[in-house]
Amino acid sequence: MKILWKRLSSALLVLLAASFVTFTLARVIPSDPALAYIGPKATEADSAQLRITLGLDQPIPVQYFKYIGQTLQGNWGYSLSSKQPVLQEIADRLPSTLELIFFAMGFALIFGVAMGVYAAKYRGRLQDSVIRLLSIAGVSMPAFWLGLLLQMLFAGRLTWFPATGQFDIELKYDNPITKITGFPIFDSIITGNFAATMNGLHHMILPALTLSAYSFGLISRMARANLLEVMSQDYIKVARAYGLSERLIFFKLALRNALPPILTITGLSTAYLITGTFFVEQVYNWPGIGSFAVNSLISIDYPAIMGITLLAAIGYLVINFIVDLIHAKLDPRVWMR
Amino acid sequence: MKSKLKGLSFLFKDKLTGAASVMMFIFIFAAIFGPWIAPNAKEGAGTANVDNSYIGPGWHHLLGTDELGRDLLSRIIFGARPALLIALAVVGFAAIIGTLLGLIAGYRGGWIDSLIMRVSELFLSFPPLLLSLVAVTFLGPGLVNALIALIISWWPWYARLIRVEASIVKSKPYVEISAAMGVPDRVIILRHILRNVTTPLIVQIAADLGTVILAAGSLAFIGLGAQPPSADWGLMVAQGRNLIFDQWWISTFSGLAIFLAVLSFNIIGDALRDHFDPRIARQ
Amino acid sequence: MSALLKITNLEVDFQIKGIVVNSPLRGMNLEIKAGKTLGIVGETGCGKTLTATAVMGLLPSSAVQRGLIEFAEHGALKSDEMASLRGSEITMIFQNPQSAFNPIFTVGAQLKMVAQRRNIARAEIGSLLIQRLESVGLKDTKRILACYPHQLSGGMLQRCMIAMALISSPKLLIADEPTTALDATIGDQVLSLIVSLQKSEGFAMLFISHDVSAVAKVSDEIAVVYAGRIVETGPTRDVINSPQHPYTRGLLGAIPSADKTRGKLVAIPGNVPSDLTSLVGCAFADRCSQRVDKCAQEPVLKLLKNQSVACWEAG
Repeated sequence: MKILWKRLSSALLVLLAASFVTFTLARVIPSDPALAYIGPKATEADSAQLRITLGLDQPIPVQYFKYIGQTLQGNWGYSLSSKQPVLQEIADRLPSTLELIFFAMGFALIFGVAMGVYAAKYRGRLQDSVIRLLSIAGVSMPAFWLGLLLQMLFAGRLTWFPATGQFDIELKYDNPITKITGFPIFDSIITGNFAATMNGLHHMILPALTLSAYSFGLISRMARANLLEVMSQDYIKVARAYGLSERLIFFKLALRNALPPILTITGLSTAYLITGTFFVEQVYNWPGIGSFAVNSLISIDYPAIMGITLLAAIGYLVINFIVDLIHAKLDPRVWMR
Repeated sequence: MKSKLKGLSFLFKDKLTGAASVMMFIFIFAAIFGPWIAPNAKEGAGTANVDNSYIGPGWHHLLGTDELGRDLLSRIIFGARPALLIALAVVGFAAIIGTLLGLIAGYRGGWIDSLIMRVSELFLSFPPLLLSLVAVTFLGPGLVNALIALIISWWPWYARLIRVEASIVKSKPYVEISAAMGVPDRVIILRHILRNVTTPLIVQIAADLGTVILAAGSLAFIGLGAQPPSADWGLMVAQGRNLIFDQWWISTFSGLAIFLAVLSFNIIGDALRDHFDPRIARQ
Repeated sequence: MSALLKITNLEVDFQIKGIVVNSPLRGMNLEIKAGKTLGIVGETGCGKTLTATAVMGLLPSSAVQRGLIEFAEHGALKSDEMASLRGSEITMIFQNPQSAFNPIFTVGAQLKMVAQRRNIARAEIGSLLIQRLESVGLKDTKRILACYPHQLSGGMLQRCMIAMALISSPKLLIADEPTTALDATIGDQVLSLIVSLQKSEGFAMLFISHDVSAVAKVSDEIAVVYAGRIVETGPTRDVINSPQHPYTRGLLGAIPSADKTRGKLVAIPGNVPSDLTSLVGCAFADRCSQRVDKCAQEPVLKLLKNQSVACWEAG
């Protein structure tokens, strides 16, 4: 329990520091927000006025504390491009991205663990080599390129899947999804709107696959290496010496021993998933945080950028925290020190 | 360790590694001799030839031409040099800065150690590319700024590695003994640190080279990295992006170049790691 | 009395793609009678553990086995036939209890897995485990069952392992260096425990160790192994008091002893030959002070009174 509090407090500290970093980057590095806000027609007077309005004339530490205070109260500023509250923009878009990440992570875990285990079982043979090639290709592929390729092949040439968007445009009229939780596919399931669910899944497959490639590579490599290491441990040999069946040894013992590092790498790869959405959503026109982030970056919408960075840092920390919890549950050595 | 490196034969120990080594060799060759081996050097450098726009792959232009009629193969060859230079620059500076900071932190200890380490941990707690993206946004688009942004993201790992090694070595008995014999402990520490650290350092550098190419390409794709008319592969993928269904070759081959370069670095990085630490290797 | 376990001319090669890369066992012959203990002693790497592995039928796929292993009424067994006997009629305890137990399962869970394998009724498993732990001298058994391996000391874990080995009331227990990783006093306690358990449970034991004194304490008969072959075997007392083979003499001379005064510890000069595949003649010849010309020929085991010795110069 003590360890949990320790982790929590260090996570909060990191969050604080992260906010500081973003804040510093936004304020200290020269770039005129007034220009971005008003547009090229901004005059000197307009700029000066805007600076006062936005509180940019105050000393930096004051600005920072104001920023922290506002953030904690839920005021994450206003997007310079859309003039909407940043938190609102994020809240609108987050569910779509989360669903995308969910499916991508699902693909990566299932395929990654399955193939890693399979490769370990057939170590040294053709299956092993093929899977290892796939894994290393996964971590070497530019996400945007893979996205474009899949788009061209499966949406352009083969028309099996739609090229862009989260749902067919007609869906809004034919089978609109009642918003309950805000998560489109989830909502469509719980309201029984299965036409929408199928449509959503149909649109989801290519982006999710694209996003999953990097994590898949990481996870399958880790799964394979780890399983091999576990299988060579003494306690496995002892289990065999006591006549336990190979199936029991493999599924119950070896896998459970191999799981913790796989979890860790899953947590780590979430980071890549987060930044991966930037590119995947761009390519597939996905209405999520990723495309919002890229647009904000290009238009130097610094309140939005700060909000997204903070969000990403929070998300990353939360995921790692959960991973640590599960890790501790699976491996008693962790918390018994 | 030097003797192990002399046996570069491990680069060809199996078909995959051999293929990767060949690819990397081609990549480096293209980076150095690009202007001389490209079928059309002027176009490779950026001169437009609009009459030739959008020609598909064929005999005259092996990989086709881009939206400005430039021979794609030449453009890609010309793109090898910036890619390699970016990778070397980022990893080089990051490693140097990280090593220096790590040495200082490990050797001095105390508050400066804590400071450097806290900062490193902070940087490392961000999703990797995010920091670079944010940094380059505020620095402004462009190659140099992209470089700076990437270096900022990459140095912490090196700092941490060196610092851990430094603090271990610092307290080893042979340091005291050598100091007693008149050898300045700074020299000893440096020598021992470098000896222990060389292997993981080399393996990480090899892997990072690939990752940086990927990151730089990603930055360029969004428009925050290299700017036209530079023959940056990421940029080229972006330029062909909206034409992906019909003039597919532009984005496809440019992205393929990135993929193959990164792939070969990763495979060789793996081979290096297996070579230096056979325990982890299969069998 | 016929032998419980009889090994005849056991040879094991390791092969990669058909080419022999090592021949660690070059002709092992031994017998264990029911309820008796045979101690196998020899240097690290001489093939003692490999023999045990072969008896359990757990040799890796790169190993090629020749010779005969006969067990009780089952007769001659191939390695896959051993699988059903493993963990039931033949069990094994290992050198390092911390690594022999799975770190992420409790001791109780692991013992339970073994009991379930033996088809012991679910309702009885609990009491059986407690009873077993008590029989190896452990108190507070409920707590121990709920503990993870790293929470227990080496000695306690080793006792747990012995308990695990006796769950199925085996006919033969193989003990591979069980006290080597333990402190001297703890190790002694464990040895005494094993001896008393043998008396009460009646299993035969194959006791493997490089520690001659430990082997001598528990064994009825001793077999000395060198470079993959038995070089001397016989009743413990006879072998210890009048060793016939030069290697045995060397081994015994290398033991530090508190009660006898000796000039110095005698180390056997030289090293175990590394390449056993192409070995010709007596493997010990290079290090032997009594080497003669005939030693270029592989000596056969000859019987002198109660002992068998593989040496031309013995007797």
